[in-house]
Amino acid sequence: MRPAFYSPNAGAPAPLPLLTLEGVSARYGQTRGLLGRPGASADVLRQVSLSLHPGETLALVGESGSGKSTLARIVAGLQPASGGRICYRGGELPADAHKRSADLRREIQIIFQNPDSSLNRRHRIGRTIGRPLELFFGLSAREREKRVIDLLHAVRLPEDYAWRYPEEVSGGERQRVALARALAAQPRLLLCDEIVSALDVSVQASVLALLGTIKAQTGLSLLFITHDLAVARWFADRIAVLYRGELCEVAPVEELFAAPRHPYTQALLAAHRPSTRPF
Amino acid sequence: MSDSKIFAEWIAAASVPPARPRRSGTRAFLARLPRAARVAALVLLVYALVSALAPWLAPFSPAEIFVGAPFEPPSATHFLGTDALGRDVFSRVLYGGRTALLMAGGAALLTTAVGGALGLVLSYCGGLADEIGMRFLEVLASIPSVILALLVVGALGPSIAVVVVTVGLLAVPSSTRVVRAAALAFVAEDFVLAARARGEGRLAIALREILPNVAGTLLVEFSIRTGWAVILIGALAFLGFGAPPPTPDWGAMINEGRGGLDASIWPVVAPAAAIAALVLTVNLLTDGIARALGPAR
Repeated sequence: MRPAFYSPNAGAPAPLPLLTLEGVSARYGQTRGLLGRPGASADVLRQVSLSLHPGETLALVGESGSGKSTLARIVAGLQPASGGRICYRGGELPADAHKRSADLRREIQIIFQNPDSSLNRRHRIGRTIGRPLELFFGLSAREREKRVIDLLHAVRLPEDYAWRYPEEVSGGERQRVALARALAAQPRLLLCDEIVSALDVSVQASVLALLGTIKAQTGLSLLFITHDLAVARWFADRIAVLYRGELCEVAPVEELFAAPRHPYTQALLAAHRPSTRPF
Repeated sequence: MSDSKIFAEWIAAASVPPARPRRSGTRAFLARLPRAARVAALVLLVYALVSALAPWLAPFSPAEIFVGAPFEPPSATHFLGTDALGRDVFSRVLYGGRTALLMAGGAALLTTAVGGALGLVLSYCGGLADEIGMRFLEVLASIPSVILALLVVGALGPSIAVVVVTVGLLAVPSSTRVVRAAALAFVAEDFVLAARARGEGRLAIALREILPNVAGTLLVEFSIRTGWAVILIGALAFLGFGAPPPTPDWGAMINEGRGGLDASIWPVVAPAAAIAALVLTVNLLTDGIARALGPAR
């Protein structure tokens, strides 16, 4: 299923990519049982090659089970790939986050889908946002407090939220806290794994608008994972379509929507806007 | 009632500010504690105070013999009568509270600390270490605890320290299992992944990320283990493997008073009631704490 029109760098704005995936594969169930029985295994990603340029937003779309989240976790160093290479700013990226330098861990940040799970319920919001400041910048408690308030303001939250627990704020606000925690590290690359899927539509829009503003101001690169084509169209520069672990098509947004080339992309777009289908 | 008045009331009702989200913290926890548990907490406080103030509250020395005639019935001088050696039962019961609370509390603290640490480590390490650790603990747990305690205390000789450490370590397998299960629920959560992604070490993740989430479980476990230790320590003392003789101990008192039951029931009934009430109190409090913490400890 490797079509001829497959071109990972099609429409890329700059020649030097920030992140490059070369033939990345992943499979689940490789672990062996207690007595060495090989477990059942399944391919999740097959030979995915992609590149992401500085300041670019690449949307990774696909149905659930297509391997989108696995890809984000591999880049974040939370899960090993079974094959392929990942390069970041010209150097090869170690598979395990613990084997990466502090700078690499700082520059690549991940935001998860569900803020209920990604924020520790027993930590006050200020502590959650302050931890990367302590870990990566060694800021003192006093400096951290100042920075936490700045970060809360940056994600449009009042400063007294620093003393609240996650369960005392709404879902959308929690996702803003997760965003503030990622921004605290001053990342170059933000991996957004379905970050608005768990939120109401109106809240989705406000979180995305905020992320858009931050992106424009900081020149952040985004790997934006979503199953929502409308969000991808509105938010991304390029779209990569993933289907059952294989990359079908990578194209700039207008091009992909105007002339989808892969049959799966065509089907996806048809499902997305049935009204435009001629009958 | 006029329509406008109904309307005004409706507006008033609708404009009530939304209830503040539930505050977490000690205050809210206490507010959710059931009444039985609050009473139990008070009773436990009385137990602790009486034990602490025993030297001032007790009319007689607990060890001094023949402060009265043997087997005196309860009277104004001897509230609970005297035992076979003419010792004041009331004073001995008061002092016995110190032994019981300190030994049971110490044993439960040991259980919770060791079991909690093991549970956290096993849940986070997973894999082979988890398998081996849990199987080993299951083998230990399969030996009846009273028999194992008798063996160990019998071999090392009864002393307060030996009894406390033995009883404390005996419950470690089940404590480990409980804490491990509670911690496992959090190991897979995204905040642990986030911590791994920013490069936190295993110890930091176990202590900072997971431990605060299982604190409620640890509290309940400590409470359960206290009640259990009171019973086991009492049983050991009854069998003669408790704190050595001059120490007033409820379990030992029941055993000593057994022979003279036909002469006076008080040397047996008083310590037995003290043990029963203490265990009941601790269990009620445990139950209340578990309820107040709710399913999401």
